[in-house]
Amino acid sequence: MEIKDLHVGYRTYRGTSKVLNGVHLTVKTGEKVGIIGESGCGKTTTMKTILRILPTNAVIHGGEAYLKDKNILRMGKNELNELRRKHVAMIFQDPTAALNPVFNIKTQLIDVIKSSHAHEGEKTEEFKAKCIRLLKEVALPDPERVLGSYPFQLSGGMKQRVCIAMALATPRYLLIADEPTTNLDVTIRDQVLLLIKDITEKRRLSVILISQALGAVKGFVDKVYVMYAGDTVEVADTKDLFSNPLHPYTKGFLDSTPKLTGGGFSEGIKGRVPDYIDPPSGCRFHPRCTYTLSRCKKEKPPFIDVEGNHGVACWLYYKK
Amino acid sequence: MRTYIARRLGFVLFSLIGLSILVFYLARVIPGDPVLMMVDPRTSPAIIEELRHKLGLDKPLYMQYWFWLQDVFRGDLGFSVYTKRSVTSDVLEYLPISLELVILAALMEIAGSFILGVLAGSHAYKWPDNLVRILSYIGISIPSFVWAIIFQLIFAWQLSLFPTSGLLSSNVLKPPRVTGFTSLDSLIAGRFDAFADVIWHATLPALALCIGGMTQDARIIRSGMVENKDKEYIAMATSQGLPKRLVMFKYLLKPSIIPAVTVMGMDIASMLGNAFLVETVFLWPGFSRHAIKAMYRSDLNTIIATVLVIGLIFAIVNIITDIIVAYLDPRIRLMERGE
Amino acid sequence: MKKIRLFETIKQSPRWESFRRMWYKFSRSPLSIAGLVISAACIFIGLFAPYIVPYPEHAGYFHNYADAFISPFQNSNYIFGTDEYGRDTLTRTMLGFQYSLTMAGVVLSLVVAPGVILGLIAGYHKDRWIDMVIMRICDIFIAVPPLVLALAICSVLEPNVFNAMMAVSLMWWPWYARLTYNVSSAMRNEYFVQAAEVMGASTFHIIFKEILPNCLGPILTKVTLDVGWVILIGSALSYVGLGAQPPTPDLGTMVADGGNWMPDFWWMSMFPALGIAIIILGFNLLGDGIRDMFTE
Repeated sequence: MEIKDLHVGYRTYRGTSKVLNGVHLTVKTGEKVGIIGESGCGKTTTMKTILRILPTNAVIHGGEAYLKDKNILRMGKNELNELRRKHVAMIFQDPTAALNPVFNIKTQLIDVIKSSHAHEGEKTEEFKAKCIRLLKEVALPDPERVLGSYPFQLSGGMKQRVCIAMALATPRYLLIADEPTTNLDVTIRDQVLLLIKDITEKRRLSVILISQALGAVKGFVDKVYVMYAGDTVEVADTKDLFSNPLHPYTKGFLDSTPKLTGGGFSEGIKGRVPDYIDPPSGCRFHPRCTYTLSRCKKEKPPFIDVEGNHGVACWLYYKK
Repeated sequence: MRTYIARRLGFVLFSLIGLSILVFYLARVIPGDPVLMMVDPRTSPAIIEELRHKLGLDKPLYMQYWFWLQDVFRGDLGFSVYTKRSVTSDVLEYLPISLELVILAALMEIAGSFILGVLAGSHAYKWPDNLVRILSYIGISIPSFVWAIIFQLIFAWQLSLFPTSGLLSSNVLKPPRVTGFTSLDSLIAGRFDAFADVIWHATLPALALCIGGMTQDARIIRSGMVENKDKEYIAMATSQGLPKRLVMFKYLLKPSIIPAVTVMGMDIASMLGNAFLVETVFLWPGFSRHAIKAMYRSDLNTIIATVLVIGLIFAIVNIITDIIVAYLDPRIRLMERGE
Repeated sequence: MKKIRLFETIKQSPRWESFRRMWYKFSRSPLSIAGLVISAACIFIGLFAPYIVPYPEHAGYFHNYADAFISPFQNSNYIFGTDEYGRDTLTRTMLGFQYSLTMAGVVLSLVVAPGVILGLIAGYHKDRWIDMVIMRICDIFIAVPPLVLALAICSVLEPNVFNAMMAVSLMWWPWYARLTYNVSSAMRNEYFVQAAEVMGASTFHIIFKEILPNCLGPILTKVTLDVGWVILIGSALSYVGLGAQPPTPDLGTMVADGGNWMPDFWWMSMFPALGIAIIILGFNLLGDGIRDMFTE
């Protein structure tokens, strides 16, 4: 899957916000990709654009998104349905919000299985058996009880597992996990992350993992993208990014994470995430950057390949 | 679930008893001496006293209430000064006629609000939505009796599409009474012409009765759909590849109609009480209209019976609504137990 | 010098800021502004009707049979036509505004304060006996549709405007108690209430200075929408003859009287009916706007 120069905004009563400002993303078959960046930098928006489930006030200004050479942005209804049923699955950040509160788990799960057309002609008992198998696969104890429950009767961790089960209900190639553990108790985050790791390895899925938990990203993905304020600012193989961050933002971001090796707390990055209605000109990070050049304020830096798979969008690395 | 229903029932019973006490005392205390109202003022005091004693009106009020309550449970609602019959027989005669109207209006309101609401919700911000919104503002501002007058003026008088008043046309014979519901009696007697005639007569008054509520409910359904459309669980359902129609009419509709059902239930519950407004305009021989006439003539027993009957039906419809809502929204049904 | 500083102080206070924010939200909606304008116009007419109507003497018993039954828009003297006594419809409709709005004003001023106070007390002392008592009494009144109760009460009293107002007031207050109870009992367990309790604030202070301001939104919305409802019920009552009596120019009575002359002299019913509709529409739009103003 490939995204090139994506521009997406939202219409609000204060004007149109320009959130995504030229996002780049590439996922090869079987590849695991991570995206890191602070809250509000457009990660979820990008993912929602892939599945075309943006809210009604969203506007796609420009750019391209391809899945296996088909342009997602121009897909018709049938193609989109196929995309969602057969190619891409998404796990959302807040499992409580992601499940419909007035239907029980069985109904929601069976509807997903039924709509995939992969099991036409099967009977209800077979569907139910499949549901139980799925719930067991995501390590949910007492699947029968879970099936008959409503979302509000389940804990956060259980709900997220149900969502994962729904994502796996039909065979798909790309799994998008949007901060799957951020809304969960700290004590179960590891379990859910391990579960995702197991499942993706077992089924050999391509993954996009969005997470604030840098440790999780480090131990799991092959390649990491760094996003800031709707821009893709850096991309590198995991080891490279963590050992040799190039973009000033990445440096500051990685620095801000307290380390067990000591060294105290860093000061963080000064300033705040920009206002998308009136974003900074040129490079969106320039108001907060310690290395600002005069060019940074005027022009947006292009993506520059530094070495191998390491790319940066920063004027500091521009060589004529 | 059963405890939920039981609690509601108990609560309703309590309210009704409280209501009956209130109305009973009001009716006995305020207007003055009931005996004097019943007889010729020239009657001798001795006979008045005898009458008072016979009717039990010389006993203390709480005893009177107790006797009266017992009578009610036996089905005896007292004597109507207005019609010179037992109130119970008045109720049995007129109530079904009003109920016919109310049931038709209720069905119209449910069907109409769903159709309009879903139409507006699925085409939000386009012309169906704006049309429904304007209709709802007009609907809520115009009282039902004004709607009744307007409908009568335009559709009955001017366009002659519907009859202007009454239950049946003068050339249609009323079917023999079985249930008291003219429409049902017509069906039972196999008289489809009478059945159609009743419905034709009932259409305008029923429409006037429900149109305010219908447009309001349509807007509530519309708001629910628009609000829930951008919720995460709808995005998730769409992302799973569920067909659009399934998402719209199952996953979006169910949570969106719950607030509307509550309001619709209250509306329908009050319909019997509000029916007199349209019954008066269309000369529909129903219970509400009869009750108004009785009120004019200070027929206390009928007044009390009216309040109780309407209160009872109000309560029953509300309980049914609560049950439906509890069925639709599992959170209400199951959170009662403190889960 | 002192005056200027006072204004500046007000403008910088947080109350003013939140008011400005709410007004900004309110003014974004053209319908709400329309509601405000219409309601203000109705109130204006209600207040000054006797001074601005063309024929103030048509209010009561009056007859000028020569000018009776004039159709509207035909005669420049009587724009909305005349009734069977030759009284100007426009005049009587505008005077009717006065009656209707007075009724709404009286009922609401009688009902809001006691209802809200009782609701606050019941909400604060939730689950104690005083809560049970107050709420059960309310439930009795709420058990019956409002119109029926008002009718019942009116019918045992003498039919006039005063009694109608009393009847409506009597069965209206429980709705305010119920509403306030729902809002305040939800707030009862919020941290700011507990903080005030811990600091030793008196119950009076907590109820009126902490909880009440947070209830204002729904209460204000309800008051505005209720103007429409009270007028609706009032006109329904007088329509069946249990409120104002003829020849008083009450909108409901006029609709009823005019109903006798339908369909030929339709304007005698239609303009008062239109008047009712406009008042209700105006206050409903305004009420919607106020509700939106308080929901962020």
